[in-house]
Amino acid sequence: MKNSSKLILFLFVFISFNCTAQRINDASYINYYNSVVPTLNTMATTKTQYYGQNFSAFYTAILNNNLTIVSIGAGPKVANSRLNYVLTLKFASHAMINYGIDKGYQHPVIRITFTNPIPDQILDINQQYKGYWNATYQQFFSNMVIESIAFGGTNGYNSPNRVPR
Amino acid sequence: MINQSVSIDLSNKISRVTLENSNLPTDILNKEDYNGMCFVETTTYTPGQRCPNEHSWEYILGGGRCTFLGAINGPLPGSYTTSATLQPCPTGGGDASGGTGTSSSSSTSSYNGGSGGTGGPNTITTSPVNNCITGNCIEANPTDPCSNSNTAVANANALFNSPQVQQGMNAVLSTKLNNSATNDVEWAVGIGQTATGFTVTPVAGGVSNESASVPVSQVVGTYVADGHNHPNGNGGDPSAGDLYGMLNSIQVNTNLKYRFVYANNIDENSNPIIDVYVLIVTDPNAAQEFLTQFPEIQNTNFQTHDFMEDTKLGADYLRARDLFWLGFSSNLSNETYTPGAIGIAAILDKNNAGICIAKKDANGNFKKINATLVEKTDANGNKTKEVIVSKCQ
Repeated sequence: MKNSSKLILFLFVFISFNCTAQRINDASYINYYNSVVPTLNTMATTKTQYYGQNFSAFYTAILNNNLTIVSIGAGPKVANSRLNYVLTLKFASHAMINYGIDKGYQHPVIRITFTNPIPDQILDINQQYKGYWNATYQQFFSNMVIESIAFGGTNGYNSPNRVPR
Repeated sequence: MINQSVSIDLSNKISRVTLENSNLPTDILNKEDYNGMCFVETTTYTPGQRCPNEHSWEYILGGGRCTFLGAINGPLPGSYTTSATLQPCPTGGGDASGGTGTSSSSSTSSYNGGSGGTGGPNTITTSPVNNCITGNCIEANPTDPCSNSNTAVANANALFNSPQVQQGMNAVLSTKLNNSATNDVEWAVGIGQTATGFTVTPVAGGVSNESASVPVSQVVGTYVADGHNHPNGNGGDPSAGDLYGMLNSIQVNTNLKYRFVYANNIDENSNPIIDVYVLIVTDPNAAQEFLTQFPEIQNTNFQTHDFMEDTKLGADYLRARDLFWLGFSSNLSNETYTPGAIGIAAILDKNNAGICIAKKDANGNFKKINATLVEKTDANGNKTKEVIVSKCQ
């Protein structure tokens, strides 16, 4: 087979593969959303029992509810502070979350505010793992004490109600 | 060779094609780069140091600033500096316009790192091979993110560098930040314009745990700008409260164009510096539309002065901020920014807010910050986004 025809066929297969393997649409987003949010809303009703507890206790509850943390974010407790107190847990791939944000949909997260700032050693872990949750992150947070917990984006994927629980 | 007008029936015929030339996939993927160029990143680790003077042993210098880390056992955390240089793609990919070009731009970003470990190599260099495949190629942006703001930014620089503003705002707020007795609270000034030049009000504020209010009633002339500091330990990036405060104020004070924000920082050589950001109104009508589309009460947390996390605007802000914080970013500006500044820049540009954010560079000139999200495939093959950070010249 000549080179030009191979190139065309390669492009055809390559494009077809991408379209098949990474298809995220409203249906798949809603399916993901509905697979996670009921559990989060159930957990929200008992969140205060973890206040003052180590993260490890809450993490056990997450596992017991069959939730899988995929990635994290972080931020300050008040605007502009250089100290990050808030850990955000996310439960879908970046691609799925980005799809939801780009469409203006709610995306479910758990935000945990710790009593002490998140040590900046986390930047070293980020350098290696880019926020994808693993045992290193789990161990890093395990002994941090929880001040409060908020469940965001859990009022319906297209609900105008954006108030966290 | 397949001639034009010859069709091929591909149905049920193709599941896999073995390519004789193994470079072909790379050649094809490299077409998705930045005008035929790829980014080559080099990351360098610098060991951490104790902070000088006022900081206790619990504060470690890394990435150009002192950061609270708690008790440290073992090597001090250091910082990573990543330089990205635009170079011709390694396998010669080019865009539709052809050519790999010879022009290049470079960038540097830095952030704090963790423990230095057990004495491994201090330099980590990412291989340029397949950089385009792993997502370090950037799509060419056909629009100029600076064209709508160049005049307004130039005017902001002219105002800032006027003798009256240098003396009445820059010197006053810098003095407040340089004094440990006054730098833990906010201070503010208002700036007026008269036929003979600019005027600056006496400094106001200085109340613990309160935002400083601009003394608008004391402004002589037309109220055109203001400035305030953020207390020690905070970044200089404007908060959601600062942004919405300005959006609200320009409804009444229609000539208000500039809001300067000061904060203490430490540079990469351990020297104390003062960061200055500025919000600049570039299009009052667009700013009004932005305020209508994203009302303050629905998008601002009045307790934290930050964005509501779960709104559309807040989600966009947090996404850009997190991408920058996690290192899903290419900083082409040769400047350091707070993650919050990148979040603000991203939402202002994305939503055509009629306001832009700029930061004062080492030469004392404000340069608009650009933050654009592009598709990326990370090293693990996961689809994500990357925030491309640059500044206008």
